[in-house]
Amino acid sequence: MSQKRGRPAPKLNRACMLCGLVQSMSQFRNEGCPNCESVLHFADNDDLVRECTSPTFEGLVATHGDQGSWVARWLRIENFVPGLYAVRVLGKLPDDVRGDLQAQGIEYRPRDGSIQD
Amino acid sequence: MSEETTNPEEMRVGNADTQPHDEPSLSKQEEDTVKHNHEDDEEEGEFEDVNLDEEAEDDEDEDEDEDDDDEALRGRKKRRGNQFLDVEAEVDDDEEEDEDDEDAEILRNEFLADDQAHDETGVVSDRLHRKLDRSREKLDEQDAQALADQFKARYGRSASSRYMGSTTNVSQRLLLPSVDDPLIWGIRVRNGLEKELVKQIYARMLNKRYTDVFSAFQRDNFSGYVYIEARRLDAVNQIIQGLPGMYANNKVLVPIEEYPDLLRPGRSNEVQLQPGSYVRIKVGKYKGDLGIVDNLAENDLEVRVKLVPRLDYGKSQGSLDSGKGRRGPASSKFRPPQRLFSEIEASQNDPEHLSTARRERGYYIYRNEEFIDGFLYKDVKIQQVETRNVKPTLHELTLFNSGSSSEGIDLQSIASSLKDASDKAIVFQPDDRVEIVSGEQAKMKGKVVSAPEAKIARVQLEGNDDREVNNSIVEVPTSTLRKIFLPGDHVTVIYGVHSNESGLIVKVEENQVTLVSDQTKKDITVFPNYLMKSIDSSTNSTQTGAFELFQLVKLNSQSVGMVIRAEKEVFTVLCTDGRVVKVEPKAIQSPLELNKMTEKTTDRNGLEIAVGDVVKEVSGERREGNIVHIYLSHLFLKSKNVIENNGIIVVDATEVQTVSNKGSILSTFKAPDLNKMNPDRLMPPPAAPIVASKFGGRDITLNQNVSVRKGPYKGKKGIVKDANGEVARVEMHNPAKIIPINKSDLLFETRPGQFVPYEQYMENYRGRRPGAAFSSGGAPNGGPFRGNGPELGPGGGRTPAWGSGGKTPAWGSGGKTPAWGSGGKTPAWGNGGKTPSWGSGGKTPVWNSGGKTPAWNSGAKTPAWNSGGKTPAWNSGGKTPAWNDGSGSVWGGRSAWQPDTETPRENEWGVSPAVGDWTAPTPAKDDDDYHPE
Repeated sequence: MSQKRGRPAPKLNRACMLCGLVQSMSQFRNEGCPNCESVLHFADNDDLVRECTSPTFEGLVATHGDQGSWVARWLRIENFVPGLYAVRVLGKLPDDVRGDLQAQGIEYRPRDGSIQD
Repeated sequence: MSEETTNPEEMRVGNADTQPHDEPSLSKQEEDTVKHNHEDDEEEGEFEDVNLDEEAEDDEDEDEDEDDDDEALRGRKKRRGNQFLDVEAEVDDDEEEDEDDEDAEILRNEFLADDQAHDETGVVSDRLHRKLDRSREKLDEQDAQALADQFKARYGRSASSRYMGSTTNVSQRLLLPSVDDPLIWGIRVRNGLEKELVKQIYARMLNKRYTDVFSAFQRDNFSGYVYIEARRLDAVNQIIQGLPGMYANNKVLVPIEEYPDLLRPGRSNEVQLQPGSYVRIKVGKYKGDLGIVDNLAENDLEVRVKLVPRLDYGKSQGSLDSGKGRRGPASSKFRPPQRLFSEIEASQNDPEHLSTARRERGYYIYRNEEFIDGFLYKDVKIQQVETRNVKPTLHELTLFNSGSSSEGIDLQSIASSLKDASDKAIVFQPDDRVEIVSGEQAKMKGKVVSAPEAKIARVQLEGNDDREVNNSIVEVPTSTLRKIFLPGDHVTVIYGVHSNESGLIVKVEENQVTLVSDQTKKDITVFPNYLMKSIDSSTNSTQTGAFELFQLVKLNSQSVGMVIRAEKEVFTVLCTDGRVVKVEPKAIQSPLELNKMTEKTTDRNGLEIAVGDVVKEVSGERREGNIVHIYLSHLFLKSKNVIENNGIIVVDATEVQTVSNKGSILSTFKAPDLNKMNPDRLMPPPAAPIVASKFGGRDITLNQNVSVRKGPYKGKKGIVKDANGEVARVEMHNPAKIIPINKSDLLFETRPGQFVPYEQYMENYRGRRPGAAFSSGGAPNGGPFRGNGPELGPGGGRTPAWGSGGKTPAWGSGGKTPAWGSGGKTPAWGNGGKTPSWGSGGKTPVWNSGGKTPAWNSGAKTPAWNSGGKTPAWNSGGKTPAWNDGSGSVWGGRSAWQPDTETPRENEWGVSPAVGDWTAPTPAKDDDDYHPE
């Protein structure tokens, strides 16, 4: 990732394990994940951000949230905010977070490629 | 205060009967606060005045009443009007001190008036407060659903993410692309810029102008491409326009069926780590070290790795100072060797950092790192370990095995880390018996018919219970195949740690085959797919890494040995002292380079022995063998009778005696050539052909018919097509090709059917040009031919040339024998100093043994030679007929004296069929005899 441009763009160095959104650690910390904030509550919770976002991800996808996009549908990000997403996010949500999600009726599908369907 | 003043009145009305009047009054008050308030105010004003007038009368009464009222109302007063506490106190005062003057009364009036004004605003604000409270209450009571709706309305899609669950239930199979979906173009970009470009495209996508583009993405596996999803190509062109690093002309439309592959998350060449996998640490003190995954953190981002620690127990100051300092370049230079953690050392050298938190055996915490059973257990970020292609060496595995009691190497773990590589190495060959282990045809057996592609095999099913499927041919990926072997099969390991070993299968289990290695005679257990049937027992690989079989190697400064078995990772070395040691390649310092010529010594009888000679022990087992190597006085023999150590034995040179070396073929090649040590002998055998070739003009050998007289093409005929120096390129008649052959290996056809050697041919040629002829030292060689062969006629008249002194340089090589030219000046010859070989008869057996040089004998000149300068023949020069007519032959004979000079011409003389006389002296043949006995 070359960062040549003058304005220091925020480093895209972490991906949310639930939705795959890629943004910087500080963005996650300060603003949370725009998609998953309602369930994961990242904001100002450093540990949670660390646990639920991964620095290891691959495949950068830019989408502006158009329902017509097959790519977004395939990656199941069509309902999410426009942004940069990772195709593959290494790591899995911790068990307790997974339990929480399940209680809320949200199916967690790891994005690390371990599940094929 | 309003309460205070109103309520007494009301109280008075129904104080006795209705005490709980309070409550209705409260509620009433709440209902019409404002209006009530106004009325109260008016009443109160009057009432107050009256009250003051009738003070004397009612005082007692009122006091009591007031008291009662007060008692009853106090709580409420306080509750209601805390803010007016001060004023209340005033009122109380004034009630007690009735006798105050008018001023005081007036003042008090004013006060009360003030009070009432305050009261009014207080009531209003209070009511407002209450109103607010009530509205808040109302809000609180609002339906949660409505709230959710509100939020939803307010935050729109972001809140909807939590309801994504419904769509994620859809199987991805249903999401497969259809023709209605947008198209995906792959655009070639500069390598390494992919992510940056996706970001730039994203920035543009947010712009309204580019809404036609649905998405853009990049995959690490498809480097050099950025993919853009859009319905129309011009939308793509528009958005990438002007982006640097984008090769807009290089676009491909991705076929729709390949879409899913583009975005498959699992298709990565990363190895899925499991406990037991091998990894290598990429950074820090343990960089490059092998680790075994102990377990993985829950989120897969950290691994706990078992390592062999590198500790110096605080011996180096640098590591004492700080943990971080270890990473510095200085400390990494002196990184301690891998060694298991030693509690004793730690407690002796660095006790303050050691703690045994748990009382378990073998568990220590040292410098905040955990050590269990001597191994370091360390949590490492997954980015900091190399997971791919980690191939542990035997050395590393031994390190890991040394600590644990469990023996053997966990095949499973090796397999998991080597999975990728193994896929490549495993080959299925036709006729391999296989079983299909997964997929629809699982459990079927058959044999491989062919393997058309690397990963696909065609298998003919046979031997299955289900008769129907037998003989049908299926194509299956090789990864689902397992080879079937039976105990007793002879196999070769084709992959893995044991590769190249062969052996007999003794046990076959589910997915493991145990065989007894032919090489080590030990059991080895491998996967069946790592095996291949083999007929013969494979020999050791002759070369492994830098060392090869039967090579002398240096183990350390003192010990030297010979590799008698080269296996993967292990060499068996026979040392000079007779020990046999197994060493790793690492333990071998260097190969020992020996010069064949210096590799010689003497046996117990003082006779020289060299490599290749056969020697025999004089005592003991009286073993006999060929010398393979000589190191100092140690001889490594290869014996036919000895089986152990690959037939190699090591003996001392003083313990053996030569069985044969003299005249043996080997010694011909291997023995030192003393002639070469004689500086004078190295004198120019005047490189005649070279000189000859320097003659200007066209090479005379060109286009000549030739016959090969030496080498693989001996006897074949051809035509010289090209010549360069000593080498002629000869077009053979059969086989029809052009082969470079040394000119001296050729016979030239001077007349049909008549072939002469190259030298002779050259001489003939030169003969035609007298001027040139004798200026070269080689020229005289032509002499005898002139005399003997009729075909040499043209050269006949050249004898006088001898006198001309032109040849001197040839002999003279160094100008020492100008005497030749002057004929009578033999002293040059006489003083043996210059040609010691002449004098020392022993070294020139040829000359001594007259029989070998009949030419000389026939001329009766031999004694002359031996006697140095006394031979009249020499002195008289021209008197000896032999000399006269065969001066050339003398010279030619000279060639015999220098059998080792590089000009092959001299060697060839003997075989030249054209020259009758010459066959007799055959100096070339005498070559052998030159060697000392």
